[in-house]
Amino acid sequence: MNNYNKIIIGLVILILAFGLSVLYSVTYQRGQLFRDVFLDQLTWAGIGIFVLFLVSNINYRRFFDLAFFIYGLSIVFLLIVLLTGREILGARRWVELFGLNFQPSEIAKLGIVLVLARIFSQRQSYARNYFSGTSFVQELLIPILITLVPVGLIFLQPDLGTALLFIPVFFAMLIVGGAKIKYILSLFILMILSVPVGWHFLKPYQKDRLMVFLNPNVDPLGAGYTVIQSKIAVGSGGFLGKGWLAGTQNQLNFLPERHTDFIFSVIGEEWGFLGAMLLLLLYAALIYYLLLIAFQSKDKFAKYLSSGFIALLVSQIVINISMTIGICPVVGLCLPLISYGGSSMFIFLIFIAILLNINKKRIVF
Amino acid sequence: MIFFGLVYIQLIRGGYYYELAERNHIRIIEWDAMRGRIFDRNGKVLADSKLTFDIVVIPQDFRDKNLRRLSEILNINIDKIKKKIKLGYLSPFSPIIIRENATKREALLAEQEKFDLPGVLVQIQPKRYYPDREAGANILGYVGLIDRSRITKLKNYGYEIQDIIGYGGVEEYCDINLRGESGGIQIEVDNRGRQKRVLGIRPTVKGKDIVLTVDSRIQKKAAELLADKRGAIVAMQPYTGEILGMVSSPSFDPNLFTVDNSNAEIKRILNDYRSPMINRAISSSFAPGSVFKIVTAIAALETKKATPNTSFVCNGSLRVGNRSFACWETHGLQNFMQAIIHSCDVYFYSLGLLVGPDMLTRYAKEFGLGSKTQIDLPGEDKGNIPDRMLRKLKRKQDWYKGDTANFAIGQGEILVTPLQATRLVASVANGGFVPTPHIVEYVANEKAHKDKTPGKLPFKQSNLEFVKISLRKVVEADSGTAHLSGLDTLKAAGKTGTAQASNGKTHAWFVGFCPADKPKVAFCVFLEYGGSSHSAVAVAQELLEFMSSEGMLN
Repeated sequence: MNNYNKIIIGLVILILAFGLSVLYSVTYQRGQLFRDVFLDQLTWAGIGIFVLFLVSNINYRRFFDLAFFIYGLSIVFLLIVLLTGREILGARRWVELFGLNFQPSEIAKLGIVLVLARIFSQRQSYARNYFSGTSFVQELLIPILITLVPVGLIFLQPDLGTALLFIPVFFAMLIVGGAKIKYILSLFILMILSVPVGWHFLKPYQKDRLMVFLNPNVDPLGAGYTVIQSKIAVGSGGFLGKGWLAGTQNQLNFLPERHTDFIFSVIGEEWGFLGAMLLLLLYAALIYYLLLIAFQSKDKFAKYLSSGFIALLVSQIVINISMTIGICPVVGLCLPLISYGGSSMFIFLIFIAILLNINKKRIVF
Repeated sequence: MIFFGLVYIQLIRGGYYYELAERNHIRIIEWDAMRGRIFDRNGKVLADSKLTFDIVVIPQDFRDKNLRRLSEILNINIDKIKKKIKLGYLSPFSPIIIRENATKREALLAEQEKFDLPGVLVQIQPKRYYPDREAGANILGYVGLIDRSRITKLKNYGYEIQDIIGYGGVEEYCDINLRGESGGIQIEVDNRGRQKRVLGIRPTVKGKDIVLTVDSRIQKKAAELLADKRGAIVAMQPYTGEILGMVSSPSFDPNLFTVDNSNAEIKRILNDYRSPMINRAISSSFAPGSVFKIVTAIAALETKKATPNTSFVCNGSLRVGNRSFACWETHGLQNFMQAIIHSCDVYFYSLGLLVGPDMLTRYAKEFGLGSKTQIDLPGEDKGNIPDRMLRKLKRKQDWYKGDTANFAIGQGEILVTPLQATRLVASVANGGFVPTPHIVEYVANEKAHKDKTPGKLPFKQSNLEFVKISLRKVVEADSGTAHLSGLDTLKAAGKTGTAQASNGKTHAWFVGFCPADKPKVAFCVFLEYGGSSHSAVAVAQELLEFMSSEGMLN
């Protein structure tokens, strides 16, 4: 019996607590953001931990069965959001259900990873049954199509960040799934070649963000404002930071979106390099133990699912922090388990819970 | 990648971003300090900082519903106020002036209704005021916004953009004392620039008051005497070098520079071909003409080339080389004293040729001509004393005897400021001391200058005494060039000069001291293109009579 699960739960609670303390500071000054933001998140964190325990007791194989259902559900929600969703900041990303607002793109993360894990794990048997050897169609086309449908819908919201997030996830699962190197390479090259074509599909504001990434000062009060202010916030924190509740960029409202996508700027400002390192360390430890679970699992579905999720977690952390310190373009991705937002937190907690169950079951087997 | 990003942005460039963050949220609102006042020697105010009331609006606190009441108080219509707010908007907390120079009544009303009219404030603004207007302008200078060249020069001394600083005269020379320390209020603002809280307040420190050596009565009288003329008058205490009066004409009204909307008039002043902004007493130099004969006389006596008994015959001209040098009259046989009394050019050509140009240069320099007097005013000119050697070395030109003759009577390349001329005659009056003129007596009740005894000129007392007596005779003798009964009664002494200027006109000079036996004042009256020296003598008489009537010569 290993104690990974206890460690992981401990790390999750630490990260959530860290995030809550930052949110408390964000809402400390009476400004545009009210105390509700903090209280909401506190409630969700409480429910989230409950969900974590609950789901970790559900046999993860149930998700094998539910994979297509969840996938289908997410597509339905994505369609609903495109047709009727509330527009916030120029994008339809939210859907209201039973009085609760949530982001279907978060459910899509779960759906896509589950379905991909399922079909990758069944691939060899399919091949043996119906074809001689694995085919291009089997190994690549079907997974790509399965991924592209929801990703396309997310892209239309528009939410470029989440849509692109599935690229590393897809590749990670492909590699762990043992796909042929030539398929992986050719897909990779194809993607790079399609970048110039993709440019034309971008919304003007997305193009702005990319241009601004190259030089934030082209539009310091418009598209570049957030990045500049975020860099100032993080940089001004220095080694020790300005102290909790004492970040001027945060408290005086210079940072937009600082409770969601740009929460890391607040951490950098108030907790300094030390605080940022502490958070990165917590994340690293969490990822380390999740990886241990993934590699020690003998079940292919469990393995693919775990690696898909870990790729998702790592990519989102890296992209989010990178964009707050100006080393990658601004996209709408939140910082996992830290940023304000219930949908994202629940989905990450459910993923972690599934991995906890995988770990439990491995011992049982 | 993230790690190195964080190391770079937080550890390596941390200081830079910290400063950016500070600048992001801290603003400083400056308060101007009251500038120190300037007094004359009797305590009369020459430059004052008057308080004026500006009615201002702080945009972040102001409510539009109060526009009506504000417009009633100030009697400006609502649209105009709205327009002013729109045009003057800098940031939510910086005041916008709605009414500059408000009357006491308006200020009182606005202050009374302070609580009903949030965001409406009465700001007290010090404004410079010069009660004597033109009379002291050239020694006082004026104040205005700091210009680009000065800010680069003075940045290290705490000067900043938007500072009010002194230009010209005492305002410039003593700016560092007069300006005081501006205070301010440091506030924290949020992303929309709204004031969140006050971080600190630094009260202003009033500038130091300055007492000058000048007497405003002399200033006024001198300005009046020069009113329609071009020229300068200097009156100096002959022993200490205290400037009792210094006026340059034409002058300007320094008050114009502190009032907005007087650009047209300022332009007129700056473009005036008579250059009202130049202090002719110290900043421009002219040929001294016969005034220089004082130097030639001393030089001749000191070098023993002549004695008081040396005589020459004046035939109305003297042939030097192959040129004839004219005298302004035919004087006949002249002894030394007569030559001074009549200002005989032929006599002094001869003396000059005996003494030689090198000695003339040396003695002129002994009297401080050709170098700055070190008066405590900006923009002093050092004049010019010709030098045979320098001319040879620098310009490769020869020196001719004719140059010596010209030099001896103060013509040619020689240039002297009225202040230098005053000091020259003062040195004769006080028995051979060259005082350092000064105009600032006290800075905040502390003496501005150490009283140091000026160096005694290494001249024989009898020679100086002889010249001094001769100068008295210039006024006393019936045939003297400055013989006016009024001057004679006051026991004045002096030397006239009619210097040829470039375009055929002449400058009129009269330098002297009074009373001759116990000099209270050394003076110089200089009239640019003023014709014969006689006009300068007349001006001097009026000035001295005025001073006497005010009891300043006792």
